[in-house]
Amino acid sequence: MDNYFDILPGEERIIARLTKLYGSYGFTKYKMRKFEEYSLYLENKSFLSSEYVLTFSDLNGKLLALKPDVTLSIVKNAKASADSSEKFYYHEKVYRPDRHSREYREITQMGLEFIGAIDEVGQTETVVLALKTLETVDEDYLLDISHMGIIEGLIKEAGITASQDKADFIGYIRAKNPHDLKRLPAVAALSEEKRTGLVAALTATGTGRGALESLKAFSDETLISAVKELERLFAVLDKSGYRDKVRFDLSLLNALDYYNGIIFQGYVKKVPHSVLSGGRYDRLIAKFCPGGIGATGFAIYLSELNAYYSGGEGITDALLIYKDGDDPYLVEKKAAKLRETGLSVRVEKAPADGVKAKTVIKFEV
Amino acid sequence: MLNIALPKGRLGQKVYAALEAIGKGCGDIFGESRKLIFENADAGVRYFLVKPSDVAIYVELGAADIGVVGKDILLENDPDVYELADLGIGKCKMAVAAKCGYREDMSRPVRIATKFTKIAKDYFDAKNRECEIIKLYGSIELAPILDISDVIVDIVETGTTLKENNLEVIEDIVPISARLIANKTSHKFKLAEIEGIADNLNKG
Repeated sequence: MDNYFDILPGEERIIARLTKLYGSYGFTKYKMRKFEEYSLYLENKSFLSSEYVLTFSDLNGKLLALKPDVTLSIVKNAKASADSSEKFYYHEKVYRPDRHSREYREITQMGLEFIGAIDEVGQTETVVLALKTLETVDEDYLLDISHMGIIEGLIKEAGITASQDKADFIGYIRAKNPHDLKRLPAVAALSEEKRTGLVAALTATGTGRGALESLKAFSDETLISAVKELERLFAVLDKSGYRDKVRFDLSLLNALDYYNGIIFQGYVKKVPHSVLSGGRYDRLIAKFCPGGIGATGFAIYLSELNAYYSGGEGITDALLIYKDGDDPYLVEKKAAKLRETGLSVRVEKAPADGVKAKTVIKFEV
Repeated sequence: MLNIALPKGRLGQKVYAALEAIGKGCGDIFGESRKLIFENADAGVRYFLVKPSDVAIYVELGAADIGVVGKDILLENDPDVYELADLGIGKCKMAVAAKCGYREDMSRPVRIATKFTKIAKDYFDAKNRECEIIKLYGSIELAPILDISDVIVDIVETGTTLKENNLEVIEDIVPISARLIANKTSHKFKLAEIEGIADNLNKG
């Protein structure tokens, strides 16, 4: 089966492999409409990576939007409860503005959502699936993992309340910026031990396990329980052979209003930004599905990979060149014979520009 | 191989001197030559000389693994990069300046001429002061003199240009200095090389 996938072009090959992977974990496919009512995005603006959404009016005057996000559409219709969970995977296109060109782009995204009573088994499974997803793209990959409870605990213990101070604090953590962080009055006012612990955690290198240790200088309950949850997760991942592939990174942060537990972000060596992102979002699911259930999931951005993983595709094994007057039956027979040997054969009258072939064969009777 | 984006000009020269001192030199890259790429395979470094305001883009898009850039550019463009160190050089400040003796007319929006439209907007928004921004690319000091703006938001180093044009600083916005930035993916996969340079530059 895997050999069969090899003949597909890059993006399709990854999609085929991931479909097989997610299916083997009992996730079922979720197919959705291209658009949603705009109000869904308006009400959950801060869950989206950008506030800009492509909108248009339906024939009845209703304001619709081309989906900028998939998770919201899935959780909106979630029927999970504490006793019955839902496990979906999807492969969809979303529409978001590009930061650099200031234009909307169509982004192919594949991912999964696990909604229901999520315990550490379920949480670990999601992280392992994220790791296997990255592995499908490139063997040179890394998954950064953190926990939203850490930033919450830090904000609480540092006594940061004003929204501008919070935004600055989060911004400096996200940028791994220790110099400006130390200058923040709330951080400067921390005890020497806590401040050193915070800076050490932010600038830690390697697997980041030392950073978790540094955070124990703090005493906030949310933070400490988050650190312990991460330590248990890392222990499992280490045992499963992922020690070199997972790291704790304090600078990894998602939106506070929606995410609460373990969060993660995946990188592959060839792509200059993260290609996979996900985490626990109980706060979002609570808005749609009362009953204290949880939700976790992730997405990989496939179209982002195309620019970095092309080549090797579109090359034909052999180009069979015929000339005017050649018998179509014989040309076709010759090509069929070559194909029987396992080659891909393209028939042309002359070698065309842009047609790559490993060998060129002239047709002769 | 570590790719380093350096800003053309004085700041780049200073940083390059520090890198040369730790054996990461590549000859006289700031000389007469018009070349923009310099490589020293033995030291494992390649330098790109780029316009200061473009450094962050090269790093964000991964063409360069690390770069040196003024905090003003980072605040203005908000690139998705790690800001690893404050190099403590190229120090100056972002400030609001106006004609000497200027008194703000609170009955109408303040008119601001600047290159740094985002920084200016953020600063006046935070004060909840309505403003009209006029984007200029140079000789910002002319704007209040010719009365197309009330104030300017610009970088102030010594204040000489302001003084010569009969302007003065009325508010400081933020101190500026050169920062070492890194691409997020590079920071994960070339950690040792990047940290090696960051530590050395930090000490310097």
